Amino acid sequence: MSSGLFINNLTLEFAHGEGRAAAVNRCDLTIRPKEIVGLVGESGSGKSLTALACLGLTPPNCRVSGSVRVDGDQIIGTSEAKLAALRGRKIAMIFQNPMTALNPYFTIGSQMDGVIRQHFSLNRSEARSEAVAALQQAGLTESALSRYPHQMSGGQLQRAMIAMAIACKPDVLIADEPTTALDVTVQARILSLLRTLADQGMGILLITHDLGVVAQVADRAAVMYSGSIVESGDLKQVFSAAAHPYTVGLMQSSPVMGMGRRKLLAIPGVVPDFRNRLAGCAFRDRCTQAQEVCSAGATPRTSVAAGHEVHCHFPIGQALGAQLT
Amino acid sequence: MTTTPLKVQNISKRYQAQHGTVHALRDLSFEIHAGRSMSIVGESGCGKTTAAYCIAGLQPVDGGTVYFAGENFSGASRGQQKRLRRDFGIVFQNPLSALNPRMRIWQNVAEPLRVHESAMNSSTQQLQAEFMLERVGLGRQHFRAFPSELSGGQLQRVVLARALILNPKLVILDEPTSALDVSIQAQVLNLLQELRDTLGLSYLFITHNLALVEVLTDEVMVMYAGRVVEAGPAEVVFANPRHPYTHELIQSIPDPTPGKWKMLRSIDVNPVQQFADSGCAFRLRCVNARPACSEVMPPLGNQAHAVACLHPLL
Repeated sequence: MSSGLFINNLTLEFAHGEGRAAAVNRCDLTIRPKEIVGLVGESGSGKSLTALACLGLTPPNCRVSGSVRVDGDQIIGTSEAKLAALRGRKIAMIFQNPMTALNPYFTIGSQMDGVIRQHFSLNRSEARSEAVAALQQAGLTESALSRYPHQMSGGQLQRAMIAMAIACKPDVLIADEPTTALDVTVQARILSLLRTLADQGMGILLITHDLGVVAQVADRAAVMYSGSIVESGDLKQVFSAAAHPYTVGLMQSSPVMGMGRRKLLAIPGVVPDFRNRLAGCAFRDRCTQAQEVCSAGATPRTSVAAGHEVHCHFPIGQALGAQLT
Repeated sequence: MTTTPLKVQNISKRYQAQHGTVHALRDLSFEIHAGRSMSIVGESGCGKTTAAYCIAGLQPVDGGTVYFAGENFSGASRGQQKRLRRDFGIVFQNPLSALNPRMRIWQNVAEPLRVHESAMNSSTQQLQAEFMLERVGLGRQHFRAFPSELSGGQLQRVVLARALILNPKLVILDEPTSALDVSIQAQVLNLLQELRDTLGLSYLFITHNLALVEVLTDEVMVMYAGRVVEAGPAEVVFANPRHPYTHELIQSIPDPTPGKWKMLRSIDVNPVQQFADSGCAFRLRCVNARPACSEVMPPLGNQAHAVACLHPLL
C-alpha cells in the first residue's frame, strides 16, 4: 500500500502550429506523508500547471500523459465523478489568491458545509462542528462561518481557504503560492501552519517562486525550469550544494538581508516561453557551463548525492556522479 | 553648494472611509541629500505608497510641505508644479499599465520631452529617447515596438528611460521590481545601482522587500499605520532593530542562505490585525506593550537612528 502523491513521467502538451509543445515535460515527483516538498520556479516554468494536473484540473485543450497517483488512486484519465470523490477528500488545493478562489456570494460557513457534506454523510450541525474544528486548526474562530469573503483580510481569507482544504482531512495538500499575496508577518504564520499540518501527517506540495519560503519549511526541494525538474533532493543538499547552473543562478540573483550594496549576479536573458524552447537543455542559452553537447539530445539525469539528482551535462561543484538511466 | 533634491516636512493625508477617517500618513518628515538614497518599507496598508503619491503630487496632501531642489512643490500653482516635475522621475510597480499601449516604445520615452521641451524638434526628441533607451540596455530592435510586445523586465527598463529623460537628480521608485521574476529582478536592480552611481542619482525607494533596501539605498524608514516607527542608516537599523515591529518584520523574512534559516515561531491563534487608534498603533500586537503605551503616541525623535517607541529593544 502506497500513500502520498506520486507523479510519474507527467507530460502536459498544448497544440502549437502543426504539432504540440510540452508545457510540462516528463516530470517526476513524490510527496510522502509528513513531508513538505518545495517546488521552485519562475513564471512560465510549468509549476502551477503541474499542480492543476494533480487534481485533474488541466484545461480541456491540454493533452495529458503519464501518471499521478494519490494513495493508489490514479488521477490521470479518471472520470469526473470519480475525481469529485477524490478532490477535497484525498487531495486538496489552496490557491494563490483566496479572493478569487472563494465564492463572493456565499459565507465561508456555507462554502465549507458544501465541501464537508459532499464527502461525508453528516447533517448540518455535524458538518458545522467539523467546519469549526478546521477553522480553529487554521487559526480562525467560529465567527468566520458567518462571514462573506469581502469581510475578511487577505491573511484571514488564506486561513479560511486552508480550513476548507483540510476540513475533510485529505492526505495530500497542494499549496500554489499560498503566501505570495500576503505580507511577510502573515506569511510567517501561514508557513508555520503548513509545517504543523505536515507534522500531523499530511503530505504537502508547496509551489513558490521564493527560495526563502522553501528553505523555511520544506523537507525536500525541486527546481523547475521551462517545464522540467532540473534539480531535486533533500533541502540541505539542494541549498548548500546546488548543482544545476540554474539553481545556482537563482540563488545568486536572490537578494538577502545583510548583503549590503553588493552587486547581484543576474542570470542573463529571459525565461523562455515553452513554445520556443531550445532543443537539448532548455537553459543552455543562459548557462555559464554550456558546451556543444548541451544542444543535442536528452540531458542526462545525474545523482550527485543520495537522493539528490540533477539534469545537467556539467553540474557545478562536483565530479560527475553515477549516471542514472 | 549642492541643493537637497527632496525635503518633506510634516506631510499628512487622511481618507474618508465607511467607518470614519483613515490616517494614511501622519507627520512624515525627512530629507534626501544630494547623491544619497532613502527607502520606505512596511507592509500593505502602512502608507508607503500614499507617501510616494503625496510627494510626487499625484495625491494632494492635507498638511505639510514637499520641497524639490529647495522649492516648495506642494504649495505651488499648477504651472509651477509642472515646471518642478522636471526635477524628479517616477517608476511604478506595473510597467505595462504605466506605458501608453498605443504609443511605440520610443514615443513613450519621448513623451516628457514633448511636455517639457516643446521647443525641441521631434527628430531630436526621438534621438534623445533612443539614446536613453540604449543607456538602460534595451536593444535597438525594440525601439519601434509597442509595449505589449515586450517582457516585464524590458518594459521596466523603458519606464526607467522615461523617468530619466529629463535628467532629474531624484527618482521615485514604487516597488519597481515586485512584478518581475527573481532572475530578471536582479538585472533591473543591477541597472538601478549602475545608473545611481554613474549619474549621481538619489532614489526614494518604496518597497515591502527588506532585502532590497541595502542594495539600492543608504537610509531606511520603517512605516506602520501611517507613521514612521524607526529610521536610520539601513545597516544599523537591520543589524540592531529597536522597534518591536521592525524586529518582527525582520524575523519574518525567510532567508535562503544555508545556516541562516530561522525557526518559525509558534503560530498566534488570533494575530491582531487592527491598528490601535490611541497611543501607539502597534501596541495591540506588541510583546512589550505596557499601560503607558495606550496613553501616549511615542515621538520619533531626531537621532541618527530614531525609534518611536516607549520601550525600545536594546
